[in-house]
Amino acid sequence: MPSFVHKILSDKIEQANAALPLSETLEEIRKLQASHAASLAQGNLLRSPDGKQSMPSSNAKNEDAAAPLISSAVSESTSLEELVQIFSDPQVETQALHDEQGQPVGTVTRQSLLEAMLKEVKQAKQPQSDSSELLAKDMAEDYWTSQIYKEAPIGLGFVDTQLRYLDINNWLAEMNGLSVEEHLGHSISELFPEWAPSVEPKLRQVIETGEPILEETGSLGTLLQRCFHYSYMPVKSDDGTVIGVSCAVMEITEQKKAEHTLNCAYDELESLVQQRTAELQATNQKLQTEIADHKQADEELTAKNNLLTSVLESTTDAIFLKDIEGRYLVVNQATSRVFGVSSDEAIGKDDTQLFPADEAREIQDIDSRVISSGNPITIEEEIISNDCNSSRIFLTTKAPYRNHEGQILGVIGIARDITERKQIEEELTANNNLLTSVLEGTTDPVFVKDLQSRYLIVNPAAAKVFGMPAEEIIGKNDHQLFPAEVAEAMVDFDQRVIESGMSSKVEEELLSSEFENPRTFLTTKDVYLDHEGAIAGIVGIAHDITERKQAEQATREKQLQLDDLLSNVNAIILEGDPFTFNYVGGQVEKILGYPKEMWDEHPDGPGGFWFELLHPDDLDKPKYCRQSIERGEDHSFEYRLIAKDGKTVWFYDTVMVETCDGNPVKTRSVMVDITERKFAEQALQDRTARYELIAAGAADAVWDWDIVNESVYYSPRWKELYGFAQDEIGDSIEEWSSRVHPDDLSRVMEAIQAHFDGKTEFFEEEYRICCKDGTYKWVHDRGIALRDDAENAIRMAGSESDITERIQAEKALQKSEERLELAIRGTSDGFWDCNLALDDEYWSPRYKELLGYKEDEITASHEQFLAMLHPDDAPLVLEAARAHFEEGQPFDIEIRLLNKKQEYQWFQSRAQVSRDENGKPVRMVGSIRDITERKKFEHALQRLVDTSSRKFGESLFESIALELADVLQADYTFIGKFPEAGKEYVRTIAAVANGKRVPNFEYYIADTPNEECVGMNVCSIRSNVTNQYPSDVLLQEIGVEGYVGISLRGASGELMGIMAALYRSPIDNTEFVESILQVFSARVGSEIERQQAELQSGELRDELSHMGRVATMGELGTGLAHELNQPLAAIANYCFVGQTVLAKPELIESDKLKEVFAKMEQQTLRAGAIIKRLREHVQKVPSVHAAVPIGDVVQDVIELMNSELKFQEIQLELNIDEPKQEVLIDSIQIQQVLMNLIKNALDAIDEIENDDRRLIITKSPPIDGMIEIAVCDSGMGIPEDKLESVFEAFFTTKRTGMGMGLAICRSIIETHNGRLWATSNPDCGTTFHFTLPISKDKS
Amino acid sequence: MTDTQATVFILDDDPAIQDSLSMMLNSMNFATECYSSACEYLDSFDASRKGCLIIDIRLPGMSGLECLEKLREIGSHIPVIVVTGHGDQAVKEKAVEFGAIAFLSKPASGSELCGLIKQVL
Repeated sequence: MPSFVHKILSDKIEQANAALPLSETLEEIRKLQASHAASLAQGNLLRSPDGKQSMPSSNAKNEDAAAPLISSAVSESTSLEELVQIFSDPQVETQALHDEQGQPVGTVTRQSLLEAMLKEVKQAKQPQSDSSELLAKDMAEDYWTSQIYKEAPIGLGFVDTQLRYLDINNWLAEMNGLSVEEHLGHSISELFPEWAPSVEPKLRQVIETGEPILEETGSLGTLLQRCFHYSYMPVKSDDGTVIGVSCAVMEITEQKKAEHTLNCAYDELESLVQQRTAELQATNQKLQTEIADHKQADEELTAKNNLLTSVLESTTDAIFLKDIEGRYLVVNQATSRVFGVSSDEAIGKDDTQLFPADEAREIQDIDSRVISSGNPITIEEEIISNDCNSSRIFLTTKAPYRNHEGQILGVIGIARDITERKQIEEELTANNNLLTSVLEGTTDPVFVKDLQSRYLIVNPAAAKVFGMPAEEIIGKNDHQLFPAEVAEAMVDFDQRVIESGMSSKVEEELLSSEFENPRTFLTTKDVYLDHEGAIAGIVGIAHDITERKQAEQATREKQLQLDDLLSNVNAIILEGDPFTFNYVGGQVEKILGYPKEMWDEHPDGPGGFWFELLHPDDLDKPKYCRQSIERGEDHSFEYRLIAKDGKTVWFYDTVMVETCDGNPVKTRSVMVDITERKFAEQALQDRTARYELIAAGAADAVWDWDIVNESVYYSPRWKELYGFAQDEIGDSIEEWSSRVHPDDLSRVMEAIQAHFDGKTEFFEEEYRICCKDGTYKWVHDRGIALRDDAENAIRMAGSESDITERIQAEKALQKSEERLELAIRGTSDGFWDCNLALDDEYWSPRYKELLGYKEDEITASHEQFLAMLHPDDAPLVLEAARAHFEEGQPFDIEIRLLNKKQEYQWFQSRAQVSRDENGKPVRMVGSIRDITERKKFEHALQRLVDTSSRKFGESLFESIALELADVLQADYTFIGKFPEAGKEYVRTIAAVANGKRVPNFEYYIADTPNEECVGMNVCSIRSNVTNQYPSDVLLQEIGVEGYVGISLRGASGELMGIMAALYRSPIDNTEFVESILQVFSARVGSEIERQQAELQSGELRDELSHMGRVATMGELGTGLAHELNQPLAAIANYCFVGQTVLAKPELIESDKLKEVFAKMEQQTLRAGAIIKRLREHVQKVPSVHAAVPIGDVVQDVIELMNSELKFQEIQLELNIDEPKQEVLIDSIQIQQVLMNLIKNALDAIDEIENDDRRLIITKSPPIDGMIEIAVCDSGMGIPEDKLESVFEAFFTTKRTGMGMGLAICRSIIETHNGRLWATSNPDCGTTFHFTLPISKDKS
Repeated sequence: MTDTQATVFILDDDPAIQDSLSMMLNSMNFATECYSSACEYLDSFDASRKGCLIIDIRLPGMSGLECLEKLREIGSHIPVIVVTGHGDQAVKEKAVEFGAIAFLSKPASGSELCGLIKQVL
């Protein structure tokens, strides 16, 4: 209810309650009620159910412009239903609106229409409060109010708080069925007990709450079929107290009916809307699904499209799509290749733009046929492809391209390049034709049989064999065509072929009416496969080999004959055609052990078997053979085959090649067993190789004479031996023979010939060869010949060795012997004659004279002889006589007889017995010859040999010089040596004058007989030497008359010096002197050489030992520094004391200062001594041997090693039996040896944990002029087998050091003619011993 | 009195060193006792005796360093002065590690040594 109405009402009720009479109040109330009713009525008017009232346009607040139109459309022409109808089609979103006359007035959207319709419905349902407000303004006048109150078709009443009617209008009273008056003052329950309970609670509620109640529907009283609208309004006093309720009842039956209708319509609309919404939703859903489907389809389409695209692009078939005008819409790459333009360029173009006019027309022709017929067409097109500029054939399928409606939009085409296929097809056709013609033309029968042996195909040649036309053969089987036996064999064979599935050959002998004799066919049968690969039958090709068979037979027979022939030849025959060796014959089994069958049965024939036997090292030989055969050349070669017994058999194979027009057609090889020859050759080669090895390796002068090829190999040493350079000697035998001494040549050649003739096992001769310098060398030559099978010498090799010195010595002896013989022969022998029977003896005067007697001074008798005979020689005489008498041995002995001077004299005694006719000895005649001189010479030689064999160096030279003087009875002898550089002068190394050693001297040899010695080797001047060499002053000084000199040479012949014997009187027997000198010159020469070598090594040793000393000092450095520091520190201390003393005047006079200085001096000397020893030890001084007391040497070493010994807590024990014993030594070197040994001992002791740290140095008394020093330690010891190797250079067990120490020590001791060795101690450790010569002067 | 009670123990195997050192120290009014080996010294060692020890490194048998080690083992606090001709850096470091208070090279300056001894005692 509008607030102002309420205000008025409440004001009126207050006024009534306070002052105004009820009537007035009632009047007021009536007015109010009238306005109330009016307001209600106004609202209903707006909603008249007949629909004729137009809705006030001002109230239409639709933003949509469609709303008024709709309204008008609804009111003026179109029913709502109709409008709804219009929109029933879900497809229509927008609908044009037309007026009654059909004039278009606009359009309405579905959405706006729906909204407008919904608004209508809402407005219809809700009372429009705004409009009642507006209306209320117009209801001001009382009249209008009371009129309305009384006459209004609305029941109005007013009840107080006791629910008594205070007022009621006619309408209401009438409705209640009572008069106005009957209501007033009575309560509702009084008047209408039947419906009061339904009304009273509402009225009370209004009174209590003060809030109005509006009831839209309801029925009242008997008017149940009618509808009313109730409105209860509280009427309040001015203070707001509810004083009553104003009731308004309006029959709304009609309204309700309209409302009902409207509701129905609304419901209908609602349901329609719902339905439509549902439909819309469904449609939407459908749409959504469709969209989804579309999407999926789209995706699928895209995928398909992609697939299609890739298929299109990857296929080699040209695929294209053309529109109806023939323009290309789609072309794939293959297509564009055909066009020769890119896809992009091709699209949009038609064939005329892409192909020559003719082609284009043809293409378009087909396209139009496809389009017009609507059916696909497949054709072969020949198109010049731009791709390869060649005519290519395409198999093109063209089909119409339609849209959904089936309308043809264009032509789709797929073209496949079938050019190659076409070509192959053509070739196939051609081949087929060829095959047919081959089949027809060949003379070889060709046939095809099915699995049942029925002939399917036979060519004319086959038909000819069967002797009937092909047509008759086809369909028949072998049994029907051949005799049972033949047919059976054929079918059997066919079966085997079918089972194996492999091609096989068979020889068949067939008889046919076509030929007289049976003919042989070599039939190749193979399985014939159907198109599925299954065996469908047999294909056979037969080849008539009758002639070949016959030829083979003939060959075989011939071969057998040949075999017979060859069986007598010791060779194997192989025949080939030309490379495949298919025949073998000859002594196959005999030579190689394999029977001929094995050769023949080898899969590759005899040739294959041969190859299998081939020696692994000869596998390259067949290649040579093959190449020769290819060239058609006869050839021969050697190779090995392995025989069955595993032995290697050598063959000499001669291969003859038969050629035809230059091409090899046949080969025949004859293999001869040459094993024995080969082995002989091999042996020869082995021996040759051995000789070559000897020649190359040995230092000997080796020669190797290839007799056949007349060449000689002279080894380098051979050439060297005779003083030639390597290139100065060629390879001819004359190089040797021309140099052989003429006197020797024939003898040597004879010896060689004898060896060639097999008379000697070796060739061995001694002869002379002329050297480059013209001198002759004696050589010992020994060689052996190699012989061929016929024992002919084909080669000879050997070696020569220089025996000049030996020969010279021998010759000297021989010569001197001969000369003695002669000399002695010059004096006559003494004769004796003994008559055995009469015991009568005769001695010639010369006999007596030889013994020193005159003729009458002695009587000859056997007793006298025995008395003179040396007792020692008596048994010799008896034995010689017995042997002579009994055995006929010559009587020739050397005996001693006592001469007149009572001296035994040597005689050679010879005798011969004479016998009588009975053979009895009757007389004996003999001679004696004085051989004293010879014996003396022999003795002298022996003495010289003895002397030289035991002595070396200076003592040797000295003794030889002395002995020579004695033996040769020379007044002077000397041995001189040339200085290292130059041969101008000699320096004697031993000189003797008048039997005594004299000081050495030197002199120039120019213009002296010595000069001659150098040039001639020997110089012998019997007398008057000073006349010959007047400028040689020395000779004159000492009065020399005779001179014999000889040059001294080393092992390689170089001049070393001169040895000579000089006489003050003419020499009786120069040859004798010469001989003796010669004998000893070699010995002296080699001694000089040895000495020089020793000297050189001695220098080296000095150097090495010095280095060793320095190294030792280095090792001892720490100890020595300490040793030196001690006295220095003491001196410093004493100095300090001295200063202190000086600072105290009272002490200056005391002995303190004296003592201090004395001690300082002592320490200074101590330091000096250490430095002196040190310097001496490391000083490099030439080796000097001097007599030194051994004790001093040992002590010096101990001093030097003092620090080491002390620091290592060594218990040193010195057992020097005689410290003053003098030894002839280089004391520094011996100190070095001792120091080394002590140092080693300390190291050895240090190696083991042993409380017994002992070092004993012992000196033993001299034995044979040598003393022994022993250094014994308690160290780790040396294994027994290493005791000797420790002295080898570079042998060491120490972590540091070169391993030279002991090697140097041994060398030092050996230069002292001593020995150094090591022994193991019984308990532990090692003892090193060395010996030193004692000084002779003192001992 | 305290000064005279203190003894300088000299441990050196060289008689000349023993003699000269003794003489020198005596002249400076120090009492001395000489020993030729470490064993000898250790045998007669008396911790209750005042003094200091002058020791060489290179000694027969037990070395100076070993002797220092022994002294330390038995808990001696006797001041030790090393006087040696074998003083490389390693030995010096070892000696100091074993408790030596000074390390002089032979020949050592007398005044330096006497100064050191004075300082120690």
